[in-house]
Amino acid sequence: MKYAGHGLALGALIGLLEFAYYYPLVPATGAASLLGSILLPWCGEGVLLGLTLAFFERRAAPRPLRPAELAAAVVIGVALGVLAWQSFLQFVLRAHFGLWLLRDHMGQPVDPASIMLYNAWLMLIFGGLAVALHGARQRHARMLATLRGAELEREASARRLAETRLAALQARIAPDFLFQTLARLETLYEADPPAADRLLEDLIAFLRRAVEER
Amino acid sequence: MLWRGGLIAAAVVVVLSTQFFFQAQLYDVWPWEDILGGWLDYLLDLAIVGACVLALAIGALQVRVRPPSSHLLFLGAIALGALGGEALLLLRAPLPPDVSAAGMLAAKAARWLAFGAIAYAAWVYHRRAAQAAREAHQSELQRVQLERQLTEARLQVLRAQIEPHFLFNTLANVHRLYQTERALGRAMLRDFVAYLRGALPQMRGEETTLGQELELARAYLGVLQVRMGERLRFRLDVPEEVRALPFPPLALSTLAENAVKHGLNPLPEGGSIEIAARLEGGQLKVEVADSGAGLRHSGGSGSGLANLRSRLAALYGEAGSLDIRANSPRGIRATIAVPARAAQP
Repeated sequence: MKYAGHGLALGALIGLLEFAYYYPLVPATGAASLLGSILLPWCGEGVLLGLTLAFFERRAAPRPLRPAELAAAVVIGVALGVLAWQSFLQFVLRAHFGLWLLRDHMGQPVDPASIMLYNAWLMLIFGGLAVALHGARQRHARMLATLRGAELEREASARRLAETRLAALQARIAPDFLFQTLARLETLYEADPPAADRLLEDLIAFLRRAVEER
Repeated sequence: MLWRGGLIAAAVVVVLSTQFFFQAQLYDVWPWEDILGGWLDYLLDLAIVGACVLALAIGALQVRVRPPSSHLLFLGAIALGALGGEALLLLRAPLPPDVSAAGMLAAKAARWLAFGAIAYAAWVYHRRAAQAAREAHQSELQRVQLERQLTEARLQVLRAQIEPHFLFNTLANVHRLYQTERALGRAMLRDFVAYLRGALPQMRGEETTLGQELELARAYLGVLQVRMGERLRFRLDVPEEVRALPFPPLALSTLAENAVKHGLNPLPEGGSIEIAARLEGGQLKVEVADSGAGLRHSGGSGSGLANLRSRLAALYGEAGSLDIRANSPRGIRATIAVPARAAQP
């Protein structure tokens, strides 16, 4: 549905450009009638192109279409859209129901083959550009997602690093404390052996608890 | 900018000119050389407009303003360039008198503008995607760097932790010896304090020399000798000139610890440990050889050696190595090789 909408918008854009071009050339015609006769073919062709692209993209999902595949999809979509829709317009609506189209307004002999060729070219140019834009936008979105992921991971690494550095700092305290206590023990054993004994017992008890907690 | 812009504009002009061949009625009435001539004429028309658009577009890109003003400026430049170019074409081939020139110009400029706007939008997204990809790559590089620092910090944590069993056994021994043989207890405590004094800077990950490392190993083995008595004999054979060379912290102690724990301890009769160092082809080789139980009996996970190996790799890359092989007649011979004059990071 989204693709049909995009195709419709593209067809309408081309139709409006075409209208702006032909309106000064056929001033006698009513604007509304001319606009309708131009928009009708272009919008239909645009929708068919959009649907063809959607079909190809869905078939390739979840991976995005490769550039060559995308180009092939555009060519097929344009050919299919122009052939089918113009045939319907020329041979059903115009021939059987008397619908007026651009060439009728221009008072020129209608040659469906030349109209199809012209429409196919214009659709190919603008459709190709639009698809290039679509592809660039999708790539942009993918890259932004990649960037966000990479930044999140970097943040996580930075956090882990900070935590580990903190742990390293805390781990340093134990040997420092131990070293100071043992140095005191050395002198205390000379001065007051029973007190030194008690201190050593306390130290051993303390270390056992600390190690068991680890 | 000029070259690339010119190339892109030329490509656009040629692509647009192919419209000429998509007119079916041409092939019914015109001979092929007239078709070719008509195409060249059309190509010239497009080239004139394309040049005008290119000139203004390049001018617009030179102006330094922020988006969205820069986008509007660029699109305005395309519209203006197209208008000017198409006006020039009117001089070449005037319109029929009943056709409004203003309407025709506006319609043609609108077509150029639509084409240019879509192409410009695609280019902007393409550029932003490339920018995001670069930033993601940068971020990834920083993450890898952080991970490396993280490994360093984890090693620091490991280094800061004293082997708990060594600590316990030693303190319990000191305690018992002070009750029975005071002199021996005093000696053991002194060695242990010396060991800690030597080990503290290393635990902080500071730079050390082979000489300091040897003193540390001597103090460590001294503490153990009090406990093991005749079961542990050790000898240090290190020439004076290599003692000042830098050496990775606690690497030697790890090997000495391993030799006692897995080599001599399992044997009732114990054994001997020899530590030797030599210079060989620009490399400092330090060897710890024991006459212990040997490779087959070395239980344990070997995580100490694995740690040591990864530390050497982190510090010296290919130039640092740890080699472990059987000693004759029995035991293990472990050799650390590092670059002799490597400045420590």
